[in-house]
Amino acid sequence: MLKAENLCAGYGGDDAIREISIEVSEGSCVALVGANGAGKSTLVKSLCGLLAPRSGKIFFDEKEITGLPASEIARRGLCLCPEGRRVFGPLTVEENLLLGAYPRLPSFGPFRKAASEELKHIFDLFPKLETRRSQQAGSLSGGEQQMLAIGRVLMARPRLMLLDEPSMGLAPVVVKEVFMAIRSLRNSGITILLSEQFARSALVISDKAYIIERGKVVLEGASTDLAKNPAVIEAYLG
Amino acid sequence: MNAEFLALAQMAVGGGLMGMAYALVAYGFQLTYAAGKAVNFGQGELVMLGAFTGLSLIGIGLPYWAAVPVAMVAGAALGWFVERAAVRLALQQRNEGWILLTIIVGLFGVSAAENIWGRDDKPFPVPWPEGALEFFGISVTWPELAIASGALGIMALVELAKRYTMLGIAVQAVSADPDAAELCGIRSKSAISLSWAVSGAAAAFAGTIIAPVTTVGPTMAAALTLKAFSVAVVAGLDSGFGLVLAGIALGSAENLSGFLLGSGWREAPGLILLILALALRPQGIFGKKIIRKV
Amino acid sequence: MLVRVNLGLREKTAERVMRLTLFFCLAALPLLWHGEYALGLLTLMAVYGVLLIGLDATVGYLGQINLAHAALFGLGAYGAALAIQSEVPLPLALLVGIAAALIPGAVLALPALRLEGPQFALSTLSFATLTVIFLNESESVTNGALGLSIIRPSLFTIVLNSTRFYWLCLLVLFVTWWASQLLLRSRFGLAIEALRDSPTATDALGIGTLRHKILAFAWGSALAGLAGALHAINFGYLQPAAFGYDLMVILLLGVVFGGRRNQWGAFAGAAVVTMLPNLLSNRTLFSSLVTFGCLLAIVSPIRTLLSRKMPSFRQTAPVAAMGGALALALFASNVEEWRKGIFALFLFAAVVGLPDGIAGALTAILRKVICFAPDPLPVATGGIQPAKNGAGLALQALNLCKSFGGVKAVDNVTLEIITGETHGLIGPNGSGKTTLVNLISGLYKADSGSVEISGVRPIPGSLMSACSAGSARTFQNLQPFSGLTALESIMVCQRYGGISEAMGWLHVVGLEAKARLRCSEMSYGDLRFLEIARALATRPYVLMLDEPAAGMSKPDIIRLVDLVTSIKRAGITILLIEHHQDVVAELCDRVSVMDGGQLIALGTSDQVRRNPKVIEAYLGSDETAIQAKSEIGAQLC
Repeated sequence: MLKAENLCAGYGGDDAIREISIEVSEGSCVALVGANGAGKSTLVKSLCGLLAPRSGKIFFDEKEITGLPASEIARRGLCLCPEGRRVFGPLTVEENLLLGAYPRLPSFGPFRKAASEELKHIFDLFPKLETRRSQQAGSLSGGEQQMLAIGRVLMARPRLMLLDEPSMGLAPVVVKEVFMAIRSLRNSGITILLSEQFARSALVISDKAYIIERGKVVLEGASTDLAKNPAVIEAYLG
Repeated sequence: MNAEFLALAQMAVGGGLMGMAYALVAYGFQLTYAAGKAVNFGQGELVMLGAFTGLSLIGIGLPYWAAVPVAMVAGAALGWFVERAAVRLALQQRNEGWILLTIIVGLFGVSAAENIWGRDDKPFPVPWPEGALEFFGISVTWPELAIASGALGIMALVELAKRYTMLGIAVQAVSADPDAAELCGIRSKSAISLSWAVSGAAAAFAGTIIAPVTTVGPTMAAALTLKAFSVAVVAGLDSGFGLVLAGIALGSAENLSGFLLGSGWREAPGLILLILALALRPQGIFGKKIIRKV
Repeated sequence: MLVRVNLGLREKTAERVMRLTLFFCLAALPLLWHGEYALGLLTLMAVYGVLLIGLDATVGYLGQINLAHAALFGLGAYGAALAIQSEVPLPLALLVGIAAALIPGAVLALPALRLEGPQFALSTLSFATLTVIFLNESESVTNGALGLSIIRPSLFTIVLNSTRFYWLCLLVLFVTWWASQLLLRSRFGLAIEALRDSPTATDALGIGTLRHKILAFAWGSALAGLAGALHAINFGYLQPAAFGYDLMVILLLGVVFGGRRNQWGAFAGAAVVTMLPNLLSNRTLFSSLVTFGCLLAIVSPIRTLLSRKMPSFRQTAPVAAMGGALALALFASNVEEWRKGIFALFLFAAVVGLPDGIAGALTAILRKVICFAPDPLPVATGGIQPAKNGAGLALQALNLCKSFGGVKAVDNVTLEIITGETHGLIGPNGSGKTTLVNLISGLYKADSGSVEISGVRPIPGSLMSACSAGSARTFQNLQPFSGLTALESIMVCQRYGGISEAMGWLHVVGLEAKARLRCSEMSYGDLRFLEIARALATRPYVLMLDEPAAGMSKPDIIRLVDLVTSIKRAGITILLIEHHQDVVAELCDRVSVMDGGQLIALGTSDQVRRNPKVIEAYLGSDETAIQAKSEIGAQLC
């Protein structure tokens, strides 16, 4: 479903990722694992259009999306839940969720009605969000914001969901909740590409994984195999 | 004693109502600043061009009530043009080149106006009935009422649209976090262009509304820009309502100082207020205290 | 492509020769060519030259839009004029002119320079408008809108006819040019460049952004006053309206079109500004010049089109602007009336398409054609000196708390580092390590708690104060001075010593060979080492390294460990934030671990690695994978 070939991208003079190629097939859950600074975020940003790659190609559903603006890529069904949540602080929880479905909703006119079905579905998934539905998103706790961010992406009915370090900055207990949510999403059949610093959690939840170190893929394979591989520990710890 | 007080009150009220026009121009700043953290240093020129456009439209036979919306459309187009020509590049490069570029575009606007409409101040036909309403001994003329209600009306309309339409909510999202908005499928660039277009339309409206009271001329631009900035800085760019209060205060202060100190000193309170506000509380306009991330 | 001429000259020498030649030619002109009108223009050009060199200090070097310059020019003019009316001798009148601009300028600078960008522009604009109002309304002193006339005074006993006055102005320009160059290419100038690239690093390394900004602004204001004084004497008649917004825009045109950050550019701009009104009246000449400009502008987009790409806005906008100017030149009934518009179009084309102005473009071409000899570099001296530490704890941070909008980034953290210790600070991403360092180094003000560096308590929230107290740091996200070379980056940070000491610091981190390389062209790894050299050059008590190994290649990490080891041996106290566990293990005496803003463990590197809380913080916990957990845990030990 998603294929990247020989991607090079970076900020400023150097390339943060060099000749990376990855593949995500429909219905699977793939993990990108690597230490901080390895280049995972750069790769994720290139895939979803926030950063233009210097060279290489990206294909989504067999069509090339290299260099398209992020809003266009999102409209095609490749949706990112960004690092650090990045919910719209001054807007309410409900408004944040509605924005996830923005391309489908009428610009003027009754949008709440049009989206009510989806909203209900999200609130079933994350009941805590329903109780806070009219609260400002900025006042939510870290874990709740993460749920909100995931919910926002789900509202877009994504074909492929990209999760960039969903556990970052969250307490371990909350991290557990987040991963449970991700697992249930995965079980419902959504294709997921997950970028994580925490190797084990990522390997447990995914079918296939890429280990990234200093901008390159150093190991790839089935997650269950990689979890037993001592080289993973070495690569992960740098 | 009482007559003097009444005269002062008259000045203050009259000025205050005019001041709402400044608030409307300042509101234009609020819109573009919220969208992309940039403001049009040539906003006064847009007001002037709106007024001139209105004048020409009336000149070819359009009634005032039709000329105003058409002038607003022209203003929107100009606003869009300023963003495209002077702001977008600087925003992409994340520098502040838009300050100089909007000044330049404004300068070109003045030059064009001088050549199309001439350098002299021109009178604008007054569409309002003669006479005034009396409130507690203070008379409020129809133009003053029109200005106040028009300004408030436009601001209210845009605020409603911002809160109760999906488009408005999307623009708010772009203000909060343009990258995250892109990820939701919102085209941030278009949202920013839209804000500038609305800001231009508001400026044009302000022009057509003020023009019957003052004259229209190339010189009205610069003075107006600074006054609108004073209002925006002193009030802060967070709430539309704060702008209105600051506008009323500034307009009153202007009239009073012109009356008491002499017409040359009219502009002074606004300028002094601006400098003081910048010196003491700069985050009023250009951001809450920014947390530097390293 | 072009043949490169190899002169044995250094660039500085070549420039000096050119400058002297220019002045001799300019001075000789009245002797060869007699014409009052031409002389008047040349004098005006000299005065504008002084004025624009002053404006360049803020617009070019500081990079801020200064809209008060024309008003300061006016204040200088009025000040000198009033002094001359009071029979003050000419040199003193010039000084009065300088003071008349410098004092209000300084008063404006103090609040204004705490502001950035648009706020600064606004405050200067208000000041300018207020000044014109003031000049207009103070009729008893300035004669208001009616204008002030003065008679040209003599310089002591010498009567100043046109030629002599021209030479006086030329002399002033020469001295001003030379002084500006000296000032702005010295360490002061380096500091100005540094504060543009990274104000945070500039403050954190003790250089000081505010003081430099104020001095640069004051210098510019003084020159505005001086130019104003000359202008008053030249013209003999002053009106407040002449020093308003219209003039300001013309001055901006001169500085930007001529070339920012460049005295040659200011001079070129002065020439353009002086000539432009005359050019406008000669339609054929003007049209040809504009056509030439159009053709130049169109080269770049055509090249891009030929390589089958869409030209960017940057390339097409100048063409559109110059095209507009050409249309006006050819079809407008009265080109003079469109003066402002034409200035605007030129300025637009320059800002977008020719950001370095004419002078910048010509310099770039010259540098491609001529190969200048490089400046010789002295041998490196010095090295890591043993720290002159105070007694007791090098760093004591007690009960620090910092929240951002309800999120506790640092929650009651206490950190005590013994003098000479290398202390590690580890923890997962987002645990608050960098925020803690930001609190200690003075970037943020703590909500509660205290920091003491070698017994001294710096002012909370002040980077400069923390640096004076003896802390120095590197940054997780690099903060290079991109416009400076490696050597210049060190020189601007050094408290004592000259080039050889600076070379010494570069030698310590292994960057000696890259001394003349611009930071914008250095590799990521080298920039990381340069940051450490910068911090070392301030001779700190406590050196704080924020993820120095991030993104580094394996060989560089080995170099880094060697470097930190030698810093350690010199007795400098180090606080090291790192993710690479092997680096931490090798270098650190003790390690503090943070998670979720709190300190969860403190001990030696070994103790900390075995601590179950630490393992859980780093790897997370999952009850269904206990097997994997103990395996990975075993690997860590």
